[in-house]
Amino acid sequence: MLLPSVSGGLCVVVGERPSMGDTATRLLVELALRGTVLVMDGGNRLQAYPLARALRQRTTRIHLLSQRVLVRRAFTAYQMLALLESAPGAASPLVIVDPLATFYDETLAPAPARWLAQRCLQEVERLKQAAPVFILLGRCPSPERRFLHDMVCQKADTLFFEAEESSGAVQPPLF
Amino acid sequence: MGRTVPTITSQLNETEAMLQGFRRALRRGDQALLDGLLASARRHLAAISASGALLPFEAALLAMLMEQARQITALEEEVHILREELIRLRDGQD
Amino acid sequence: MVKIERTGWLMDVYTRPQGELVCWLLSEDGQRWLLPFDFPATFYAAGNPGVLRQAWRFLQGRGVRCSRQVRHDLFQGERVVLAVTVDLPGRLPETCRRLAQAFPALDYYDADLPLSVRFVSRTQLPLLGRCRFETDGQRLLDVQPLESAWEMQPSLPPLRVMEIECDADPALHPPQAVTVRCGKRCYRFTLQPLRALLVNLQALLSMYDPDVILTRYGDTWLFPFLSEQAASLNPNRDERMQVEFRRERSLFAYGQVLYRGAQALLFGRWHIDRCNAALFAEIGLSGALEMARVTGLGVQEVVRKSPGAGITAMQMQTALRDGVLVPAVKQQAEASRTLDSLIRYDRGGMVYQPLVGVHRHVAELDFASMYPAIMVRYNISPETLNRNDAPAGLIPRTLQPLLVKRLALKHCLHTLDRRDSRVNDLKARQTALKWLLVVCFGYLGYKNARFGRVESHEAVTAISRELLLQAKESAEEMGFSVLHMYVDSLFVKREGAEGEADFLPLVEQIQQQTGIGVSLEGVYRWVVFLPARRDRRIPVANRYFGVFEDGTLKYRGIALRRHDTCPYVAHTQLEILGCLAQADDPRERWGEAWALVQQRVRSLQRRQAAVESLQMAVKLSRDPQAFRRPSAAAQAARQLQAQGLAVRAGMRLFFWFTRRGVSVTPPSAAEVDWDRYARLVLQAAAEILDLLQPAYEVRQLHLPVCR
Repeated sequence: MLLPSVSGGLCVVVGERPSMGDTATRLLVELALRGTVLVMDGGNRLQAYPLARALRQRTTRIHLLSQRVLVRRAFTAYQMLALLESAPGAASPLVIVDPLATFYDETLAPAPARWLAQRCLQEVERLKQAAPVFILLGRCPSPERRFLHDMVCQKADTLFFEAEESSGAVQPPLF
Repeated sequence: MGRTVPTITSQLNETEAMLQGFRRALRRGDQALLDGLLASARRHLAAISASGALLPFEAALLAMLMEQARQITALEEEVHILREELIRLRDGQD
Repeated sequence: MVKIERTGWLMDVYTRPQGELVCWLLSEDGQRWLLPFDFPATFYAAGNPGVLRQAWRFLQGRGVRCSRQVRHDLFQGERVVLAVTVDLPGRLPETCRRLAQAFPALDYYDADLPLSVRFVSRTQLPLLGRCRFETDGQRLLDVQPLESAWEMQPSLPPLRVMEIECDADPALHPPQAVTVRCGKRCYRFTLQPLRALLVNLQALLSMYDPDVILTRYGDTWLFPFLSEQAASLNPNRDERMQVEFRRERSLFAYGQVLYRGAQALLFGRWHIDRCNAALFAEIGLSGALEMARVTGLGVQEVVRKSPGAGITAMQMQTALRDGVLVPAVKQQAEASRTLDSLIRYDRGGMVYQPLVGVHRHVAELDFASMYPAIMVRYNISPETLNRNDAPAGLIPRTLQPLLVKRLALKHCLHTLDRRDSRVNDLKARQTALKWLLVVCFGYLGYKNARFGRVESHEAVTAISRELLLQAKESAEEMGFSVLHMYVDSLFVKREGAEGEADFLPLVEQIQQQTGIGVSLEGVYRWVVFLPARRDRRIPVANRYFGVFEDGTLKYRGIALRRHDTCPYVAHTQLEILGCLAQADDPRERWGEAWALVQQRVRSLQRRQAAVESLQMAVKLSRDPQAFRRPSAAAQAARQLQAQGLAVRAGMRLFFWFTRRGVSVTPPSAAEVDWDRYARLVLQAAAEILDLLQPAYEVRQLHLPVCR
């Protein structure tokens, strides 16, 4: 898991969008076991029930831990900015899941998309001063909007790329 | 916008899919029993949903138990009626 | 200057290319007027004072008036804003776009309001509303409303309707002729020679001068065809205007892919394409006029757009009337909540699985317009969230008159005899309002709804679930058993309760307890709740059929209700239901119904069914190239593409099953896959009859042997 290798600042994990829910679940469980964690979901990736199940696998205090995971959802790029603007610089880590999902919407022109992304990153800059910020970033579906993806990666203090899923047969572990 | 948390139905479907390994290793007759149990929980989807449980399968298990209890009660009643019938027949013979 | 005063109706408003607003009015003397009107329009910008000053400077010399004002934002309260007024309202969108491009950090308000919404809000004159107006013959000088949008029996302008139809579906075959109907006359023109057609059409337009042109494929074929072939023919009444063409598109809404065909809009008269006007088949012209009247959106818009656009327009009207700013983009972010709370509250309406099987003497109770009624009664609005003492919010203020009017129309309908000539008109208007009420809840949670908020959306479903649980408890306390509950309706029965009177006390009780109107939909002589197809032990919500005491059938979730069922199969199911409906218990008629099915199957095997009745329909869930497997839909799409037709996601395609797969053109009897249709009939029959067959008769429904 990433946690031991991350000390603070902005950590960006780039991965496939379908597997982002699982990555978010694993990360959130680790963080919730340590204290309160804020989640901003920009692409409807948060899997509420699997997260609850994953918490249960690690602890019997599931009700306490489920209170520690604080969720906010954005359904448009403007709402993503509003979420970040209204977030106080809290001491708890912040996980932003698929923040650019709505920025790829064809109804949002590239110019406002760029401006919104810039503003969002300014806010992230502010928030990371108070506590670590994790961004789980899906790979960009369209080459024309690739610049948004690159803008986020350039701001990362730590950048991880999740390995793409191998399609070949893998020998299962013995134990 | 609106709902992002999946419905209880899809949640139970997912749990059932996760049980596929378990189900596959059962004998065919036992598989049918398991299917019956899981199906019986579907009669109480509203209650499972209303419980607002973090782990809805726990509420689903309770629903399965309830359906078992219902069957037991029905069978008990049937046994009772048959027993009465038997006694009446035996008394008649006497 | 001679002033003329007239009374009449406001039909529509639009802007000419130079940006001036034009009102289309119809006076009582039958004259049609297209009069420009001075109508300055204002939008607002708010934000950092320094940036606002820069924006002010940016606008200098651009022909707009700027001022500093204090206006009310629904969420942030009073805000200092830069008010930008343009004298020609048609220029507002472009001015606003440029400003937003230069100053993206500012918040913009009243920037994208439909012009008609601005007009009706400011003049208090609804579209289609009766008015007194003053003109000098060139311009409209003044207009005064004589009627409100909430008039129960609004006066109707005398409309001239022209109908134009082509002789084939242009998506399948190029049409060869058009039929034009005006009044009692009917003309048929072939497309060739083209000149003759154009001369005749032009002559009819000039002579008859219609207000409404009602077409089939006018959006997608007729007007594009005319514009390409004869640029000189202008079908607008306003000769300074050209036909406005809007492109086709596929969009994802309401959880499905929707296809919106291209549109052709006219000025000074309306064009309605029956094949591209989603609700028109159901609500007709009366319903469309009612929708335009209450929403403030033009008739051509309301018939083509979803009712959601209508609700949004109504909310904008409320905001304008009450001095509330309409934000250009929604910015409210969701408040943080725990995982626990998310799971607990992010849920839909109450769905209580039915008790599968046949039930006799069952009453269905419906909450009347449940979700909007909850929003009004519990004051659910984005700005009233978590506030018990708040005055009526924007959403309840918008919905209240709509609810009242629909209820009054429904009440009026109940008091009329079924044969009364007013019934159809009232029904259409009532249905139009119903659609607005149906979508208003969804819009509360819609991501782009300016006055929506996900927490308010959840509050409505939470209250609805609570009310249904209260209703269940009341029913059980009164000795009823609850068979099924579905969002806003419940099905109950009680030993000995058979007539409506036996259920009315329960209706009263629930109404009293919940404060929401409840109606008795009716008492079923019998109703059958069906199980899941894949497992008969699993009940399924909202899948049933039954017959009311008066013999009326009601069915949900069966093939007959689905749009992809071919007419022959649908007709079979309807015949089966008709047969069962004659009995006090449907099981008594199982044998007769089964015999009927066999007869229908035999007809197929003898190839006696009309090919048109076998036409299948399917809605494309994705673009043709995205299909991985050669499903019937994919095959049909590819065939149409091969014919050079543009096929897009969301389109509805028609095809037949043939021995070689599918065909998008009617096949000959020899080509039809009759066995496939026979199997479809049996499946549809089994859907209804499986559950009814007597235990001693249990057998698989199968193809009868052809004799």
